[in-house]
Amino acid sequence: MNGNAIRVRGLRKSFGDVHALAGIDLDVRAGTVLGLLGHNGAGKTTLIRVLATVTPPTAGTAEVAGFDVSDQGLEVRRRIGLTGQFAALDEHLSGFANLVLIARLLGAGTGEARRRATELVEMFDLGDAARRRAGTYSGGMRRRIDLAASLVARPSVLFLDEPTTGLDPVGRQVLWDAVRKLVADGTTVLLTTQYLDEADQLADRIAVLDGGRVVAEGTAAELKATTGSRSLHITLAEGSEPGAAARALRDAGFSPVADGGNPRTVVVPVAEAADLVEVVRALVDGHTDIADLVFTEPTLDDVYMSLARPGTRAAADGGKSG
Amino acid sequence: MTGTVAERDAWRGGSTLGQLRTLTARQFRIVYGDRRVAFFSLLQPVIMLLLFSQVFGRMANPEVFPRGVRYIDYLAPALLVTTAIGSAQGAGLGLVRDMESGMVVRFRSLPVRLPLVLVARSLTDLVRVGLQMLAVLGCALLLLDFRPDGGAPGVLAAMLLSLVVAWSLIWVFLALGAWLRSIEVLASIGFLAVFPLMFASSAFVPLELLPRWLRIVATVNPLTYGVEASRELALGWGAGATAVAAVAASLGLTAVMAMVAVAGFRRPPGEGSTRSARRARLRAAARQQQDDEQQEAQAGQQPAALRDAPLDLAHRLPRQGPDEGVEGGPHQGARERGGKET
Ligand SMILES: Nc1ncnc2c1ncn2[C@@H]1O[C@H](COP(=O)(O)OP(=O)(O)OP(=O)(O)O)[C@@H](O)[C@H]1O
Ligand SMILES: [Mg+2]
Repeated sequence: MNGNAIRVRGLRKSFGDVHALAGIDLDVRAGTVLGLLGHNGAGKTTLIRVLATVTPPTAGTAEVAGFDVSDQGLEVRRRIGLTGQFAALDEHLSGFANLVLIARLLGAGTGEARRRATELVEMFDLGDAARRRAGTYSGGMRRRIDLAASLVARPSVLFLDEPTTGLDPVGRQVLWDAVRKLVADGTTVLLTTQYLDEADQLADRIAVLDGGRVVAEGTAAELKATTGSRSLHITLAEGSEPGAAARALRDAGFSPVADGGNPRTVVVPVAEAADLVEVVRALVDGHTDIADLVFTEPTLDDVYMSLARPGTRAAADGGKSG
Repeated sequence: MTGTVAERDAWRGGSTLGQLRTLTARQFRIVYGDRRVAFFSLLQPVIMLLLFSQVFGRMANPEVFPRGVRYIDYLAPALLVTTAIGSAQGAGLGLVRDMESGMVVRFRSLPVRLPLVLVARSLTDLVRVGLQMLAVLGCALLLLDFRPDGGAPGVLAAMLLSLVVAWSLIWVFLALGAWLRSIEVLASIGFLAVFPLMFASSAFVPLELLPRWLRIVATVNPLTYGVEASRELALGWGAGATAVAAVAASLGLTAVMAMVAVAGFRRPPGEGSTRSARRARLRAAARQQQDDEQQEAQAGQQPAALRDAPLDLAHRLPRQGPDEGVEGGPHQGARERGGKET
């Protein structure tokens, strides 16, 4: 497969006066994983629901697997799997029966449906528990059956809304392996997560959502490179004034901030490694002695903090494409 | 085992009949999965029958009933119809519970024909009503010496008629559930509807015995006609004209309510009416235009769009202002700036 499995243009979704999606443009190449990051209420779930045809958009267009979500909903539904943020299981049925139910609704025969359910129960390591009523499951078990349910159809596009929330480390690893295997087979995955390491691990590209808009999009490395939160942590020698050092750095055009813990440490955000020379020169010229100097690369957390924070609408307005 | 690419999307959604069968089977497991629930749902109308026949039967003056009709003969055909109200309400409540469980979100993301979810629900509850009716009839015939003049064919006809009436009531409550989407609201409506519908009718006493105002209510209460029709068939009164009218009215009601229910059920989860959704769409369109204009106006001053040129991001993030000292963590300053710019 080639081309884009998901193509979103000018997508908007409003609930009364709440603009959950305020104009989204997004492409996901077939066979890749897009990680969707964003604070609570950024619009991640809403975007997934619109793409999965659960909710119609207010304006704009979205294509999934080549079909329009508004006009060709049935064709879209034939090709997707959805694991919502909140488990969608029949509590009265066993986990196994839930899987069989979905396979039957998809058109599988009784035998096929049971075979597929067995396969998925093994894949997610559910064992005997799969025979118990879903209503009695623990949160993590419920999550796993829910995930299995979205895979019954072997969909070409998979939507996972915070799939590993509530999973233990083993469950998380199982899910990650499953996603990697699916992607190796050509499945396209759009997943939201609050765990930045998860996005780092799984996603080919990452989009940061804020206030219903995509404020940044790129590979993890690209995003890290763009935050400018590479920084130098400079610990001053005894006898040197942190205030004087900060003044010298500001005069040289840097923006030093205090380190939360150590009063003798000054943190200087730098754009590129070459700035290191400038910083050291400014400190030497300012007659400041350096005891220790550490250069830190940004993490995805820094990207997230600088972009997706409630109230940071400056970034959102600038990031909106016209 | 995740399947090969060749198997991908192989199942495109079952046939209408297949999906209906699967969904109905699921409903059955929910309704009858718990034997205790099934038992008590059967017990309930039987208790009504025993209580009413014993309590009111004692007081019933034979002169107010047609010659040769005892109270049990008068009561049992009516209970066939009134039994349906409780089950119909149960259908509405069950639907709302289904919608709240997230199962409906799952169905909406699958190639499932949504109306079938409602049809399955109505069929399941219809079967339940049918079993309740059999329990009422069995108890009346075996324990209470119910001897209807219509004989077995009459009683069978009365039961079929009651099932048709029940089906329409089920759809009324499915429509209420699909639109109101709240167990609390539906339960209180149910309480308000069930008792007046049952008692302000000819179900338990002849219309002539009711006080004038209640008689007027009972005359407009559609259930009165269902009850009368059931009696007509079971007791062999008249030619069945009331029954024909009742069946026609019930089928008409079913058709209308089914459409209302499906329209309500199709609305996306967690949203208001379609009219408010349309209004939201219009508002959003207006706002988009406004936004676009604003954006054009700002285009000169604003830095390049972020997502088009992610690598420019570093230059977009404003540096620390000269008056902001060494105080505060690295992110606090940025947040304050962000706030100011909005
Ligand atoms: N059915 C609804 N009615 C009204 N407002 C809604 C509805 N669904 C979502 N919203 C609003 O839309 C915004 C986006 O919500 P959404 O659930 O998409 O956020 P999210 O990014 O998934 O957040 P979280 O990380 O908490 O899951 C929020 O302000 C939310 O209150
Ligand atoms: Mg969410």
